[in-house]
Parts: sequence; C-alpha cells; structure tokens
Amino acid sequence: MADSQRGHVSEDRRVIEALADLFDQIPPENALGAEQELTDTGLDPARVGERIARAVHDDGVDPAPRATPTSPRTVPRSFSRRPWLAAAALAAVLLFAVRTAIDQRSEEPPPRRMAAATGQRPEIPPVSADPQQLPDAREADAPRGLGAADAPDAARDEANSVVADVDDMNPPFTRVTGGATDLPEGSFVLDAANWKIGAALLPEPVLRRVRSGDYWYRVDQIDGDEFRENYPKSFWSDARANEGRFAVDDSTCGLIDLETEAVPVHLSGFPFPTIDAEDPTAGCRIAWNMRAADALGRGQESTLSIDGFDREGATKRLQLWSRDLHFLPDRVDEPENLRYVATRNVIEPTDVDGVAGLVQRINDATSPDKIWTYVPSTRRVRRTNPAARSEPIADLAIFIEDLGGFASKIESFEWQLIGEGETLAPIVANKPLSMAQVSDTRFEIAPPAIRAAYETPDSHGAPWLVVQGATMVPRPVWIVEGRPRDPEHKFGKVVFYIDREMYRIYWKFVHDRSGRYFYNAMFSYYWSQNTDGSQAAVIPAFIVGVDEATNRAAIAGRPAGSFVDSAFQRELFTLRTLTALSD
Amino acid sequence: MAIDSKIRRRLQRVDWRAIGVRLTAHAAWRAANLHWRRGDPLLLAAGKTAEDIAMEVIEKVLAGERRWEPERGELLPYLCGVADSLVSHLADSHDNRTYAELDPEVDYPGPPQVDAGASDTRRINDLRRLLRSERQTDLLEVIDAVTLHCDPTPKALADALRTSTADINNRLKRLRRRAMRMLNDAAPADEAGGTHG
Repeated sequence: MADSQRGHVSEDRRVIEALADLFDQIPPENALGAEQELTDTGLDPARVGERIARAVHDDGVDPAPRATPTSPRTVPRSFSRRPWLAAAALAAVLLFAVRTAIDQRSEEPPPRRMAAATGQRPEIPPVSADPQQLPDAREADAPRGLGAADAPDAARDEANSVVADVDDMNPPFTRVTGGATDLPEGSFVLDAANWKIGAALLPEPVLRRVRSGDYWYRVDQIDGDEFRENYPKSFWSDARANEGRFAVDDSTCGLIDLETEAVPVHLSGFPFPTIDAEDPTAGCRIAWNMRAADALGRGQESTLSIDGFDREGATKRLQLWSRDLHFLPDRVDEPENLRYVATRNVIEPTDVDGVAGLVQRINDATSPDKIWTYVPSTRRVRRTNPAARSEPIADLAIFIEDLGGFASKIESFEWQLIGEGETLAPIVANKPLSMAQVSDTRFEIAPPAIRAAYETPDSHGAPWLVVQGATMVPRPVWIVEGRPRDPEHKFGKVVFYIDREMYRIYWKFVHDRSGRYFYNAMFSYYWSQNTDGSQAAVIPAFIVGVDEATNRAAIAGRPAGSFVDSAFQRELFTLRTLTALSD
Repeated sequence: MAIDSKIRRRLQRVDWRAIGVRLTAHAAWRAANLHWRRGDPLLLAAGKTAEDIAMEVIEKVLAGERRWEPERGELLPYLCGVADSLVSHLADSHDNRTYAELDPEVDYPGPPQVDAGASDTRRINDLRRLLRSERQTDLLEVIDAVTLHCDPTPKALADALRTSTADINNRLKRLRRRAMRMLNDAAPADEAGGTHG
C-alpha cells in the first residue's frame, strides 16, 4: 500500500476513534433514552424491566412498587440547588424555541380541508361532508383496499377488509366489515391503504400523514349514550338545571349569573347545556362548557412526562408534576376571589429540577392570570406574562398553552363558532376508570399505559404516533376559533375541535400572528368515577403536539398515576409554597 | 460473601424494574459503541446479550460479590460502572479467546487477510454516503469537523460549528443511531464475506 494511501487509512481510523469517543460521551441519560436504546437494539423495555424485577424478586429481594404520583402529603421532594445557567435553561429555551418554530413555518395549508383549521367560516367544510366535495382527498390515485402495492403491513391489510371506494360511504364505518378476528365488528385500521375513508373525519394536516404512512389509527365504534355516562348523573342534572341561568358578556366573554347579574361564584355542570349555533356568542359559550368539564374533579394532581421527538426518534424527556384546584364547583375562594389555582414543578432532567410555577386566576372577566416562576438556583420568584404560555416548553414541540387542552383564562381569548361536524377522537376508554379512595377526600386513579411507536418494537409510523392504549372513535364536534386578546401572545388564532356533547378538545390547529398555520395537537383524556358516582374527574391522558415546520413532535402527559382531591389545602398554591418546593 | 443487612434493606427499596431497564440499556449502549470502535459485531463472548450482562451485574451486587457503598454514590451509576467493566472484559476475552483457540502445532495457512484500514475507510465512506443520500447535512458537518481535527468533545464541536452544545448532543445521538443501524444492516453481509477486507 502506498504511503499516502496508508496515511489516508489511518486517518479514517482516527475519525472512527474520535466519533467513538464522542458516542461514549452521550449515554442514555434518562428513562426515555434507555427505552429508546433498548428498542433500537430490538428489545422490549417493558419485558426487560419485568424480567429483571422478577429475577430480583426470585433472588429474595422484593422489588419496590411502581412509582406513584408525587403528593405533597406523601412524597415530599428534596431539591438540590443547581448552577444558575442550568436551572434557568428551561426559561431560556422557551424564549428561543418559539421564534424558531414561527420562523420556520411550513407552507400554507391547502385551501379546502385546511379550511377547518384556518377557521374562515365560508370555507369550513363540515367534517362529515360528502367525500364528493373533497377534491384533494379524492383526486389522488390512492391505493384501494386489500392488496394495494404500498400497503404498509400485510397483517393490517388482512384486518382491513375495507371497501375502499368512498363514493358511497355514508357514514364510512357502516361499510367496514372487519375481517380480522382481533377486531370487533365495525372496527378497522385506517392507514395509507384506505386513507380516503378518513377524508370526511380527519382534518387535512392529519389526513395527509395518514396518507403518507406516518400515521395509522385503529378506529372503533362506541355507544354514544354509554360514552356520555363518563360524566356522573349529578353533572348532567346540574347542567340541565343551568338552562337559562347564565349568559356571557359580548365584549369580554365573561360568564354572567343572570340572577345576580354578576360573575358567578359557583358553577357545576355545563353552564350552557344547549348551544344555538346561530348565536354570535356560541363560541364563548362552548368554551365555558369546556372549562366546566375541566373543573369537574375540583383538585387533581398527576406526575407526567413530556417526550420530544424528531424523525429519528426520541430526543429528550422532561418530567414534572402538575396540581390543579378549581374553586367554581364549590365556591370561589375568598378573600382573594380566585376561581382557579395551579402549581407545576419540573422533576427531570436534573439541571432544571425544581423549576416551578404558580398560577392564580381571579374570578372576573378582565384580570389577567397571575403567574410566577421560581428558579431554585437563584432563589428568585419572577412574575410572568400569561402570554408566555405561547412559548414552547423546553424547546419541545409543545406549548404551555396545551396543558389541559386550553391553559389560558377563557376571557383572554375571543371565541367564534366556525363549524361543526364529526371527527376521529382519541379515546383511552369509553367507560370511566375506577377510583380507589385513599382518604376522605382523595381518590387515586391508575391510568392505562399509553405507548408510542418509538418505544414499541415492530411498530411503524412516526415515532410519536400513539400505537397502544388509545383508539380513535368518531365523535360530533364543534369547530371553534379562538384568538388571544393579548398582542404579546404568539398565537394568531387557534382552531379547536371540541366534542359537541362532552366538551373535550380533541384537535387544535395553531396559526401564528401572520396567519400561517404551523402547529397541531391531538388531545386525549380519561374519565374516572368512584363506585357511587359521587366523585368524578376528567384528566388529560396525553397530548401529541406536532410542529409542521420542523417535523418535530412531543407527547405530553401519559401520567404514571393521578389522584383527585376535592379538598386540597389552599396553602399549597401560594408563593410561600412555591419557594419552599426546592428547600 | 454476605451482603450487609443495611445495604440489603436499601436494595429492597429499589425499583428494579426501572433500574433494570436503565442498566440493560447502558450495557447495550456500551456494547454498541465498542462495536463501532472495533468494527467487530461479535463483541460479546459466549453470546451474551445486554440483558445477560445487566442480570450478571445485579446478581454480583445482590450476592455481595461487588459491594455497593451508598455513601459513595447512587446505585445506578455504580451498576453502570460494573457493567462497563464486564463489557470491556467480555470484549477483551473475546479477542483473547480468538487467539487462544489457534493450535500452535497446526500449520495454519495464515490469518485471513483482514485489512482493518480498508474496513475503516469503507465504514466512514458508507456512513457519509448514507447521510448524503438522506440529506442529513447537519450530521455530515459533525463528521467533517472531526475529520478536520476538531477535538472530540461536544463543546469543541459546538464552538467549531457555531451552535449550542445541546444541538451537538442531539446531532451526536442521531448520528450514532444512524451509524449503529448501518453497522447492524451491514453485519450479515460482512459475515457472509468472511472478512472486512
């Protein structure tokens, strides 16, 4: 070998060694990274964990029980102080990332199906519209039914004995026969092979990903009457009793108790059990119904994670606990006149461990939310503008605004009903999960496991696609446009798909201040009740946020455990507690 | 060797399910990195998997053969250190075993003409080609920077490429995942070919 050639070869060895040195510096740093590594190696993380726990148990060492959500009473956390830069990282990345997201917007959405997302009433196609009217969905030469050349998975093809010609499908599900033994009658898998079926049920940005193979969904049918029983009878009877009791202020969207002609200090059940789509305040009324459902459990706490993704897979994980307390189902908190309070506390990664936030919402139509952020290393509490909810969380493709579906004060947005129809909604369970009573006021819930493609061996689709633990069901929805009143808010408008009966947000499409669409999010929930229905709650199960410009995504939620507490101590939601969290 | 009762109580409180996943992943990660460094897919002797290594580490600690001292650090980093040591030992013993199995009395025709240097060149070229075809220019930049003698640290790369260390770490994770997938995809062909030469 010539000397020059030999030198070139040893140079390649040096590069390999240098890359190896670099790879050695990035070990799997948390549970998410570990699961990704195992999945890449072809191992199922859950099976590995079970096998080792069992082996240790056999060895005479009883494994510890699964982790339960952080509770102020049972699991006090000790927070160590971190370097200033590391601890402030969360806030810094928030500021940086939203600009990146907005600067790198995707192209304008196509005019027809995205009309629902763009929110211009004349262009909003009813989502249950005749497929004949959906040219972009129909013009493509899509594969038809079984045996399509690009069908992504033969097994699912077999499960999909779907007549793919959508021309005469109304509703499409009645034509699905369900050829597989593991799918009940009427259920099927919607994927690239039969994507046209979704044309009438999915917003365009989502449908596009089904068509490309990024997404596939198992679609099931549910009994609407049974699904409504997710809310207890008392909630429905309160809602019926509210008929005619409330109104909204045209200019502020403030809720008004018609008897006192003032802001109500108590609210149970939907304030507006009947919505008149022609009413110009219908959008605001729908938003209030949504908020009444949020408040159902009064107080709740979950330990949740936020996982970030790019096309290659998972990139980072945050863990935090979140505690909320709504006063309206009982009575507004006096003397501060608060209708809602919340605290959030980051647990992982360690460099932002202890970064915490406190929200206090005054029970009027005009006061902005009071938000404080605490950074343990500086031991400083800073007041934050509520518009900061439009910042991404830790540079991930998800926003503080997404937490709980809609995090802001209802009155801080202008609302307009722009359409109605039917959409596919991600559902964890069609019946309420049971609650285990652990004290006079506290009930624990064990949520089912939700798994995404990146952590599921032999799965396919985008890494962030939820593939286990949830299913899609057709649900009637209102399509509502919300516009933030605060010019500091980064969102120009948001189009929500909200269940017409349950008032849960299933989809959200976000446009920036220049009117360009750049982000969508999907929301799922689980309802829970105790045995006699006297205690109930609806808790966010997961949120999948997708930044269309950068093709990055995030899954938030998937709580390891949750509990509902109807009598959280008020002191848990004070500035003193916020600063004490890291002591 | 008996394990201290206090330590045993501590170990009883451990979430072995979670620790097991983290430890197995660490072993898999270490083995994969050695695979990249040495280009040898048969890294772990006796067909041991990452799970086997994790189990072995835990067994050693539970049996007191390896003594974890809580006051000197948390359990997981300690277990990962033991796993590192085991993986290195297995890799070395595999190398040693290869030589030990040769019978000095036999007149072998000579070892296969493995040109390690050519294998390295091919590996780097393949990786570059793959990244180019996928238009992963930000990952190519990392390789270019390393080729231009940038120090192999995320900080130095971040300075060289005028980006953040977090971004470099993210790129390295993606680059590593791509490189490992390429190695794994190539492994059967290599084995069929018999050599890397």
